[in-house]
Amino acid sequence: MPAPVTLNRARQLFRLVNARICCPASAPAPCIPFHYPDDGCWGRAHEMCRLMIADGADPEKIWIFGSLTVSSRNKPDCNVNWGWHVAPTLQVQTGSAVTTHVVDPALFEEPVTEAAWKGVQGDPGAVLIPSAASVFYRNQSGSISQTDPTYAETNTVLNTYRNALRLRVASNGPPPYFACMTKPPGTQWLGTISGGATGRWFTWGWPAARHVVWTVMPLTPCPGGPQLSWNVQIERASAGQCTYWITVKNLTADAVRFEGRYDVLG
Amino acid sequence: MWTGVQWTGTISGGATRRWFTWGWPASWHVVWYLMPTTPQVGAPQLDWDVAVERASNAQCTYWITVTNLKSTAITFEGRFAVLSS
Repeated sequence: MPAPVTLNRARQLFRLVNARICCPASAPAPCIPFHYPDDGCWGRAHEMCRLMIADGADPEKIWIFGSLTVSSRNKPDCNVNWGWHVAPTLQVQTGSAVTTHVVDPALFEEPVTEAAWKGVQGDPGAVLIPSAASVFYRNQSGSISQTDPTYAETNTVLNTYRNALRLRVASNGPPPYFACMTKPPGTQWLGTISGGATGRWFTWGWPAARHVVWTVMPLTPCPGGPQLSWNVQIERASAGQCTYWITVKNLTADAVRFEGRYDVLG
Repeated sequence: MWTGVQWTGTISGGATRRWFTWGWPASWHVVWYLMPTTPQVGAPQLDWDVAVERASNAQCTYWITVTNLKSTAITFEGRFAVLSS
């Protein structure tokens, strides 16, 4: 069994691989298409293991076989069905205990226990099978097991699903998909703005006596530079009410979904 | 709500510079503003714009562009307020 790492180290490794997330519209290599949850997990898992090993870590993998169903806001119909799935694991020391944590940015925002990972996949009877990181692909019985020491197959799989992600964005717009989301508190609207565009939204009927600030937050991850800036203007519509006009500028070439947020001060 | 100073910067006269700060929870509502620590009376000293990058599902990076409206260098605090978290 590999030497355990601290939870902080596991989180660091999670951030290391998650930083490779694809900007969905362009999805340039060598990014990892975490936002195409439909398929390609074995390529993502092998690439994540490669990155962690290069950083001095000693990951393994966990495979799950069953009738799996996962909710995802990164697929237009909000549901993913799998017969199997795979992700890297790390042994994590917490106090005197060592537990297996799964690194799966397609499903979670930090390392989680195997039980939590299995728990979101909709099949309590699903079977978990651990393996070495070197196993690139396997079936449940183990009668088929393939390695990919040169990462050639890995790159082929990643390319396939980068392309699938680009195609999805071209036909459905970028993830996440609003039909799969509920508007969080303090969010006035969910918007989409095209690459390079400037758009203006207004929201009326606000009590003029309230002190309100407006911000925007991209929902479509694309690491590497600023995506959105914004400007706020105000109209006094009546003695008691006002209208806010929020101009949003997309600084990138790709469409971005975003939240228009407000906070009432005082 | 809570407030803080994320960084202290200096900007040359007439210059525009950009700072970034990463690893902020994207679910937090955060506003950014500046405060000069170099007194100069009679006119505004600094202007700023904020842009944001969604670095991952959970985290974001703020990019703050600062313009010195004066002809001499100014030192300032880059301040934030977390309005909700």
